[in-house]
Amino acid sequence: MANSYKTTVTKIAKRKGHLVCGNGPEMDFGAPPDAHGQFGWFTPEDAFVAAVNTCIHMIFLWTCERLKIDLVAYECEAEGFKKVYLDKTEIFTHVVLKPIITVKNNDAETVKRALQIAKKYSLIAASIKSEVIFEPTIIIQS
Amino acid sequence: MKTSEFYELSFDKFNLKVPKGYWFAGYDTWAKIEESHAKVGITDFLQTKMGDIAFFEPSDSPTLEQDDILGTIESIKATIDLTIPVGGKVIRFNPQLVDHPEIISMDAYGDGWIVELELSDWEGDKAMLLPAEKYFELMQEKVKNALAN
Repeated sequence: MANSYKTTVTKIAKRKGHLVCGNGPEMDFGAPPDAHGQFGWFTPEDAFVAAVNTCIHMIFLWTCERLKIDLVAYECEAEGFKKVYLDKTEIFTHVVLKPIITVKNNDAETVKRALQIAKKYSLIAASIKSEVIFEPTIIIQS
Repeated sequence: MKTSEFYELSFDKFNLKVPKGYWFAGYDTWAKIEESHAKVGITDFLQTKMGDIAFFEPSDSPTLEQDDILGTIESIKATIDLTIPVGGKVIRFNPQLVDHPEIISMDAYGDGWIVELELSDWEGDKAMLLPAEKYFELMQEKVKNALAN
């Protein structure tokens, strides 16, 4: 089991860089529009919120298998909320995930438990100091 | 229980407890003896190592001998067969575990007990078990080995 993960970034323009991920993918990135970047660029802010969303996604799927939840569909919008301090430092205070989860033959309480377990076992969620909040919509199919 | 009733080991984010007065098998199950009956469960070390408990499937045998499989426990991370530290006639499995197996994770030595038995050979079984202070020493070795891997 890997105990470390690596990425490399290289400057390619004034507010733009190139990212090489340890697992293979490569992409350009830059600042968001509100920080002198441009729309359409992959940003560190996107990466942070996506890291939470994708990690919770993967662990939730695993948890559903272990809890024998018959998962039909999962879609989740995640939004990170930042606070700007007087000295212009910033922090993501919380990340809100709004998963729409469709299951067969399971109760909502079991699905909610699976979400809490996913949060507990998510490497990313466990590593950040932002609060991770779920606002789930759970659809039970008979 | 009061803190003084446990041996405790704290490391990282964990605080593992071993209650005094219980008897332990080296494979991380416990027995609490009450006259001719015993309650049996898994240790704090084992439930912590396994992660959140998802299911418990009990044995359907009406009697169990020491070291028999008492059931299968599934967690978020692992599935293992549990071995019973004492033998006897099964009185009942913990009915709460059917809908709420997570109780094992929350209270391994109390509400998370697994099976209650009428003991068949306590004096014989006892010879193979460890008192709390000895199990605590063993548990510390297991933690050391687990952290070294």
